[in-house]
Amino acid sequence: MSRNFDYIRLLLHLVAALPLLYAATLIARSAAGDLSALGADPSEELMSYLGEWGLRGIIVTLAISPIQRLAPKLRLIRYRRLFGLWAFAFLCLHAALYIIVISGLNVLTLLEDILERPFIILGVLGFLLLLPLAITSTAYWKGRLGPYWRRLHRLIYLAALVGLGHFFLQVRSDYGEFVLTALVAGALLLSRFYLLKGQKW
Amino acid sequence: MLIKTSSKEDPKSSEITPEKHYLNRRAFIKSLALATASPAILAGEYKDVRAYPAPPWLRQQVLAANPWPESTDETLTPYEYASQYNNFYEFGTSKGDPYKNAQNFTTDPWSVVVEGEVGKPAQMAWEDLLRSQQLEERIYRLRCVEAWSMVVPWIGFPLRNLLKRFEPTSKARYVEFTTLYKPEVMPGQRSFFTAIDYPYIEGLRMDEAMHPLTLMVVGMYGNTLPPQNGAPLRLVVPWKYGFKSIKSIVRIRLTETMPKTTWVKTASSEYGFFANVNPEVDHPRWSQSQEKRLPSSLFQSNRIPTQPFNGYADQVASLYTGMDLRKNF
Repeated sequence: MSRNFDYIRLLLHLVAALPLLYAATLIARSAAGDLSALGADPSEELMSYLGEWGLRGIIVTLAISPIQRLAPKLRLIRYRRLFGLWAFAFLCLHAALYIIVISGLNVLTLLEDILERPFIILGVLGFLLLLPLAITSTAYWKGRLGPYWRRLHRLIYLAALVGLGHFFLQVRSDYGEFVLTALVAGALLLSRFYLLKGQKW
Repeated sequence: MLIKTSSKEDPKSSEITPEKHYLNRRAFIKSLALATASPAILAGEYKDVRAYPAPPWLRQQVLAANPWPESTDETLTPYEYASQYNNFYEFGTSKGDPYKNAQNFTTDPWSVVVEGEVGKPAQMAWEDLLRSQQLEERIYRLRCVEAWSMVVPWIGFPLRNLLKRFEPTSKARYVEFTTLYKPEVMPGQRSFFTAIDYPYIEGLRMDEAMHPLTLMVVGMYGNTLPPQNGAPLRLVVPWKYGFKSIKSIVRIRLTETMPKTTWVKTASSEYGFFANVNPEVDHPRWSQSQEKRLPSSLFQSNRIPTQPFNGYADQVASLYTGMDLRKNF
């Protein structure tokens, strides 16, 4: 290992992976018959869990730029992609669980859901907004897209809003958790009016 | 593969099982089947059912419940799932919350107010409400509006037996039910962000309430009702989505006008007053054409088609003749 090995990066990867590690313990407990882990409908519960962490991951990613501005010496901006890609990974698993287990790989069920259920339409839209960002997250694409890269990656603001909408439409009666999430995400999004003042969109 | 070779020391099978029993094996199997067809309660079919505190008179009545001949023979949902996966928002909105938060909920003493369009309004202790009611064990399908379902052996008596005692007047067209309001023990009622205006209210049309399938329930799985399942006294209307089957009832009011029920008040575009199980009419979030029969596994959703009126169409469809069930969802 070289002297310049980035231990902080390794540590942050481990921290970002914690929700998945915890999910693994939930799956193991559920498989062992522990109902308090994932309940009577484990695939549904696990899908919600992954979706919630995906949204939290996006919020963490949105927090990096303001922190960079407030505390430039931390140079946290180096790890923004790391958080963004972990959030995307959670959402890939979230979507995979929905397509494979919840819909049972049934094309008709999928089509009906995607065409008729507003919250699923928003979920698909959010995923499609994040997909090009994940693909173009490499240094190669950053170089190739030049000034357009930054502008393309502002799609994350829209994806965050769509993700909040996806969450909101699933609240049945208790808005507590949604309000908390929306307040944090909203503050981070609003901070862009200040951070990006005078910049060309 | 194991190939059994018999050695000389092994006894012959005929030495173990006398020939007359061997020849009678079919009759023997038949007698076993008959034994299990008798009340499951007496046969001790239910394993690991937790006995929550309940008055002795109720235990006696529950144990004396008769089996209902029309019970479904579908596989029962295991007790631990039916008692740990609940929608009872008074105790929290996650499915595991009611089990976590309702364990110390006191259900005795309990009384119910019966009022409105009745000849003999009264507040009655539940032992008086239940006295002289012969209980039945009825295995019903339970279909939640969230597109999952269970099969539950309830113990109760037809609601109409209760209503008749209070002599409904000719003006009684609807029945309104109210759940206990007690924020100090029901954390969901204390929530700052809840959109529900507690207490929880549900309702039925008079003919629905008087229908022989409509059950007042005091027990399940051969025992008294766990608090998270709506102890001490709840409604079960098997052809309607689960939210109609109101829990922990403290008030029954007969009215001339349609009651303003909780979910209709909370989101009238999503939940209707009738809320009959209908695979043709979807909820904005859930297709109602199929349901997940719980428990499902992590890799298999266990989806089955949903039946009109949850499979009770023969008994109840006539209540809705001439009604547009798309409008009256």
